[in-house]
Amino acid sequence: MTKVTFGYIIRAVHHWSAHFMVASVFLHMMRVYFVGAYRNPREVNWILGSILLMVTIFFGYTGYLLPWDELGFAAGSIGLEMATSIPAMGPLMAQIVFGGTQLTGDTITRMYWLHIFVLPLVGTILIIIHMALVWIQGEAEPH
Amino acid sequence: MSDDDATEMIYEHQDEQITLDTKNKLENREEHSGLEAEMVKGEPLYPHELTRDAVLALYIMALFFYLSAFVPPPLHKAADPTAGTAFPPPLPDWYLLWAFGCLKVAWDIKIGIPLSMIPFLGLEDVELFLMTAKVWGTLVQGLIVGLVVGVPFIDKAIGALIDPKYGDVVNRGHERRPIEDPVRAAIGVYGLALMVMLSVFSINANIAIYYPQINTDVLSQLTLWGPLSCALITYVFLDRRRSEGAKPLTDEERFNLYVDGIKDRRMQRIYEFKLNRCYQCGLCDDICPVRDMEGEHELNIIYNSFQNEHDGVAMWSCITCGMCTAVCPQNIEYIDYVLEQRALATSGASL
Repeated sequence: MTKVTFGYIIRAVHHWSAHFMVASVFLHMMRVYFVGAYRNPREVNWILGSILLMVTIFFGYTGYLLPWDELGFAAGSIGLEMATSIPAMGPLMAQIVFGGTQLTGDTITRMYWLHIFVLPLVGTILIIIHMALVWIQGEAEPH
Repeated sequence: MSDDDATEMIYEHQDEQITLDTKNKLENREEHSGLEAEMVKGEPLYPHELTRDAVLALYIMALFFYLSAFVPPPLHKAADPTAGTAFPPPLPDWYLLWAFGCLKVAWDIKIGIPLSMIPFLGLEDVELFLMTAKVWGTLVQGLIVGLVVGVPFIDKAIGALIDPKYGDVVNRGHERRPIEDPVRAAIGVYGLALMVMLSVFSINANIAIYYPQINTDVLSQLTLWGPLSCALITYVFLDRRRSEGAKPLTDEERFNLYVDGIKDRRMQRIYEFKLNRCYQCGLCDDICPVRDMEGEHELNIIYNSFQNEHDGVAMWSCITCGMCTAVCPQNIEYIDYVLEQRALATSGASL
């Protein structure tokens, strides 16, 4: 991880842009709340936005779990405990997200798949709808 | 007629004029110019917004590279499943600390029938259901997420509770400043402060290393009462600000308010005609036929108006041909501004 040419800069930019991404989503959401911009007819966009916040946070979670270092392992343990603690649905969710009720090599594969395929796909589709709704409903209208 | 009444009348008259003018402007917009009608809202996507976004994106990229060079992200130790929990435990990234805090503030809840409370019988408690801290903490996180998603509907319910007329018709899509809606602002501040305090609570072990006197008791009291007091302060502050307008004013205050009102309105109008976007490229002056006739620097209409030096000459010599707007790279609606100034001048207002 530290030996690839320019690897350090890619890792550092990835790290910092992730933090800025989450921060900007939080700030955007706060602004929308405090100016009341979620009211009729924009409720759908607010809900899409909250889902996008979850997607972003989950991006961050899978992202800092993937190095599988001390922090990632602790995060994995906590996430797994939380998933299994959900009544009835717990074990199934642990199976889907973590690849089992124990932290194994499967967990990393699942997290990688989520981080590079599922979340980008869901995120991109939702962002397109999010932006399209702004355009269609006419809050801001590019020409 | 007292002075107050006179001031009031002038004020009302101005209001009427401006409303009338705006209405006229909106009604005649279509025939005024087809081009202008397309430029009612916002700026063109190309090149204005694209350029701005590209510049911003480059700026942010520069910031990332700067941070990456000077604050490289930490490399943690390799995971060791056999080592047990480290102290202090490794913390999640800052945006997940609130969730971590939810897990920490939770405690085991036993739900059952407390038979041992009955004296003399010596019965054992019957335990029906044990809600562990883990389950409870996860549920609280779900609850918070649910509350965030449900904000529009909660807002509507609270609004209907406070004022039954509060509904879609009045508030349709209108943004409102926090000062106009202190309850909503207070709830928002409560939520924010709670997130912050849950995050602080979640790093209690790390705080205890450096400040042993800030123990878990202090932190839990802060988490409980801190957000509530923040919300109360917000409400009281905004509500007082809101009601300040209702105080009886002295003559001087009223006069100042009147003068400020005119200034504010003037600024607002300037903003509306996009005059503030001018970056003095001079295209308008180059094309202006009046200036062509009058000579190089004799009658620089637009420049004079921007300098607030229109002594009447600049304002009245404009022939409203619209060439300036046609060539302006910022689509400034100069003629509308001139027309409004004329209308206001003839209606007796000195702006």
